[in-house]
Amino acid sequence: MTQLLKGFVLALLALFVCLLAFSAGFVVNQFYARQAPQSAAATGPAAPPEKFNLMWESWGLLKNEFYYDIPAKSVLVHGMIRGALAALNDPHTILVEPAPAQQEATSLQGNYGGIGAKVELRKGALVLLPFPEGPATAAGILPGDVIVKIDDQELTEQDTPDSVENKLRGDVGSTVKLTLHRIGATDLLDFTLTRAEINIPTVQYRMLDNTPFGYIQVTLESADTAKEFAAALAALKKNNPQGIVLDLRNNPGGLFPDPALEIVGQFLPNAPVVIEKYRDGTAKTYNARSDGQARDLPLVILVNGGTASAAEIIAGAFNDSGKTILIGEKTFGKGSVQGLYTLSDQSVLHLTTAKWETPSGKEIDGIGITPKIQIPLTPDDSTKGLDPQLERAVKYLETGQ
Amino acid sequence: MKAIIRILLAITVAVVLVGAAFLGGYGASQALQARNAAPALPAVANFTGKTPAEFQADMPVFWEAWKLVQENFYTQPIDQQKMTYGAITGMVDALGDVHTAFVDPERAAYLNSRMQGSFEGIGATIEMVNGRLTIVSPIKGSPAEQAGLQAGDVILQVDGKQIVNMDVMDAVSLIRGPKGTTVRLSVQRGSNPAFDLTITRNTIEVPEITAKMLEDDTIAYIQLSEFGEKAKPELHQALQEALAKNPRALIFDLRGNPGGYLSAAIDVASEFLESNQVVLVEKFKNGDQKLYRSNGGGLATKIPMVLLVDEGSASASEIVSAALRDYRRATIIGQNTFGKGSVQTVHSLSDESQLRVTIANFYSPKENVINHVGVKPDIQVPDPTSYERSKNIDPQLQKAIDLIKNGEIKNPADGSGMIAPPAGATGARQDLVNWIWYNLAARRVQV
Repeated sequence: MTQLLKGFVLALLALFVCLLAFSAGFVVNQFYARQAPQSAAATGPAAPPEKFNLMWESWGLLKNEFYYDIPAKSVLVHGMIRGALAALNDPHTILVEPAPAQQEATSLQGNYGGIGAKVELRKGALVLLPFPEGPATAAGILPGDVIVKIDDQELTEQDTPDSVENKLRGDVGSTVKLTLHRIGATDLLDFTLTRAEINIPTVQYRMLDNTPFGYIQVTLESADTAKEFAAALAALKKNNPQGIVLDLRNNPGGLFPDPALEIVGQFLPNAPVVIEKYRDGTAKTYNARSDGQARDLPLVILVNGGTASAAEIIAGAFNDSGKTILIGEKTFGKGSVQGLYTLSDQSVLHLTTAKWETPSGKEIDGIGITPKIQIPLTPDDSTKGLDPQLERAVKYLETGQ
Repeated sequence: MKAIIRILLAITVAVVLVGAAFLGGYGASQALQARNAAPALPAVANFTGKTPAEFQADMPVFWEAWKLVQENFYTQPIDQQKMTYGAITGMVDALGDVHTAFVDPERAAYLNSRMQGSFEGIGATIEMVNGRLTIVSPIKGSPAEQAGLQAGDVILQVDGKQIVNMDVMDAVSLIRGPKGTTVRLSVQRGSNPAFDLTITRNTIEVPEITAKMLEDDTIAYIQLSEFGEKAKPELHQALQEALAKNPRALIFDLRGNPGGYLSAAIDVASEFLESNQVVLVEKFKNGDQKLYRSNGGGLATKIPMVLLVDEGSASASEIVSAALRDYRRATIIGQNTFGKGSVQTVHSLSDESQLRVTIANFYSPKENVINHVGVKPDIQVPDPTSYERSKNIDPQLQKAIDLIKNGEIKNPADGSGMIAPPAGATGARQDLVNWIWYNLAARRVQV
């Protein structure tokens, strides 16, 4: 009986961690989730433009003449909302219809696994940001690869990062075929991945071989990351390290703000971390926590095109401090904050309501952060097991340049 | 004329409906607002259109989204006109028919000029390549060519305005302009530093017909690029000139022709068919059918003929191809055609934007389906490979020439003639405007 119970608890735990890893990206949004003001459901238009009657002019013509069957009005209204939002030209401002209840139910049954990647929008395309470990990285998928088809089904305009992450999930051991477009490649690339349980700790650490330096890799910002990070630092400090390499490569972000504030606070107590700017010109500055376990340790940070969102905030805070150097490649550039508003028919409006700036006032969204020392990691390096970015970081700690 | 009446009728119906909806919608909205004691709203100014009755149940969701955006969206100012156009586009897209489309005034003006075959500008074909406005080729004899603009040049600025990553139609509006005025372009050529070119705009004529004689004047070759306003007069003239040289056969090339006016399709088919032949059958949702017949007076009803088609031959091109096939008037060589067999009416809305609505499907004279099927050639010949293209080798054209030289093109076949019209069909001819709808942003345009 206890054996069974133990198994059950373990399974639950695994499921929980899985869920956590996958939905961490979503959590950052949820953090800002707000219900639409109740009054919105009942109020009329907020000063519709002069040309709004064009809408009904068009509708009258379509209703009289359109050759094929006209879909339900709710479908047309969702289309109208999508079209109006598209005119705002912001890939993160979208309408998400409630997922069919049945689909939700299946995704919660049994062992569900994934490919170990987060999906983000970039310039209107849905791109993959693989976790540092997992089936996607193992198969050679690179950050920024554009998803064209999943199991030979082309993505549609209705697809969102959430809906695509949903499609990528499935039973552990099942396979999914991805057709990807890689910038610079002429042909589409096909990958067949076997879904695995995505169950990676968010912080890994070790002393770097033959050096006096510690290495900490943060793969995701989750609710436990700050604690894991503090524990990693404490463990490394027993070896009396002379410096730390913080690896934020392929870290797609996750929960904000606590992990970022804690991590920065270990090195730069009370330092400004990020400025959240609202449209009325007001702003809120988030400051680091005060632990300061590693305030005297030299630090070098590794970033690349897969470093996004909350991870970019960490990188930006250190970069602006002037005390820490960034090495690697330009970061992804996801620096906008979405509010979630539930409409009266249960569809959800994701609306960009704020933008992130680094402490010195540099916008992140669509721009990213360019490291002072830029070194690429070529596919050739990867296959040979080389890491010139990490080597450069060690050299920097050794020589101070 | 009839089209205008139709539009007027539609607008009248719309206005009546809107009026009817007015009272109910207004009352309901007022009552709800009062009950919920909504926060103060901006004044509802200039709002003349009210939600039609059938939309009222679902419309609150739209207004919620609209209001949330106005009050909370980060980037200011919000372009409400663009959002309205977007909403109409979204409604139209939700119908699920790619050929039913809302066209904003800028694009509408472009499409109109394209069908007219002339516009005022610098005379260059352009294309957005990775957000950079690139010259595909200057038009022969145009101001752009005279100013030295070359294929591959990238335009960085127009009159000092950056156009990198700009919507291609916005760029078109900037570069085009009235004849006699000048435009200053900042041009990048290769990796050289950018330089400025000032070009005086002129009227640019874009011919729809390319004609030449092949094989020592024994074969006439005529290519039609689009079924615009110039298709009929230019084809008529080209046929007159070609036939005066007594060629043994005619090659008519509709490859890559995306279509155009329905009336132009009938005019073009009429040059090759006897008088009063059925050219196409239009079928409406309510079961009505309409027959369109050839005009008579065709110049090339007897000469042996090859028709070249490919996957880019669409819409009006398929009307002509299917009719010539059904009457065995031409031997068709090339690849299966696109398969766009629907008819659109174009409505000009009150602000010069357009609504293109699919109103019917069309079928060949023998009532063969065209939509999603296309026209299959009698002789399949693959498209030129990229190597052949680079060497100007055209295997489809070559096949046509070979067959003609071997005397194997003998159409029109004996016994070609009237096909009995389907029962219940009417014979009225209506001059509707139809055009294949493509995403212009992805295509080459002319400035």
